[in-house]
Amino acid sequence: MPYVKGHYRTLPDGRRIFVRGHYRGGHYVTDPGQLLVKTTAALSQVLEEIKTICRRGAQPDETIWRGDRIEVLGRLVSAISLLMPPTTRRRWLDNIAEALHDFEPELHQRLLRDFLVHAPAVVVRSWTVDLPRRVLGMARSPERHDDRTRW
Amino acid sequence: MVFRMTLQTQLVLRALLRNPAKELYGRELAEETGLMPGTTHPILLRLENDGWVTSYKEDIDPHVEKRPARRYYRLTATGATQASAALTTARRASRDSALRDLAGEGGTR
Repeated sequence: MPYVKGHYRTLPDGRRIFVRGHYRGGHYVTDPGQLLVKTTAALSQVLEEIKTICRRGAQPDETIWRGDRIEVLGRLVSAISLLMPPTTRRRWLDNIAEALHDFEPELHQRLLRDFLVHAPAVVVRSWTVDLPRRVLGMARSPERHDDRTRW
Repeated sequence: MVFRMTLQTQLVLRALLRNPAKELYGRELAEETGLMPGTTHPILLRLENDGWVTSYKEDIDPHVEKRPARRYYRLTATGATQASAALTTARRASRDSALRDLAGEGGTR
């Protein structure tokens, strides 16, 4: 017979909520109802983040290095990056910036095309990892972000 | 963890296994594998998420260095063992498949 147990979780906005769950056979199992509520909350949070990004438009972190000057990313790269979770998005854009700096200018078009062709895999994979983390309360807050930790 | 061992994944793993202690960044990986960074990026994310690869972004001031910070990748200890085993399996599977094809061709003649 499982017994009801709960834990406090801090949301990204700083609020603390009590999450009900069941402890069964040495494993902590979240209540299906709670899981649904949390999934909905996580999805709405994701939508909110996307809306914020769209409203904000091009920011300095959306810029790329080319030679010794910074240029704003092309519309397509920028638009596709909006489909990614924020951490992955930053990292993807960083990778593009690094590649554009390290490779010769004549390869830049090919490089960008290659990044765009493989972007759907990044979007799907990142959300597959990110969404369960958000729902189960394993998401990392920006303050705790450490590049050496696993993505 | 079982990976879908595409040829690209095998190339990335082989490059990282050549010197498991060495950290490689995008350009070096591209040179070692012959793949573009856009192709290796999702592979590395997947490997990293499954604990085979670890990465970090170098701590430099891009304005001083006049270049963006690089992200360095290397295999974890478990990743190196698992990658080595997975590559052996993949190599064996492709050899078996080639032998089957040859046997099939021989049988039709």
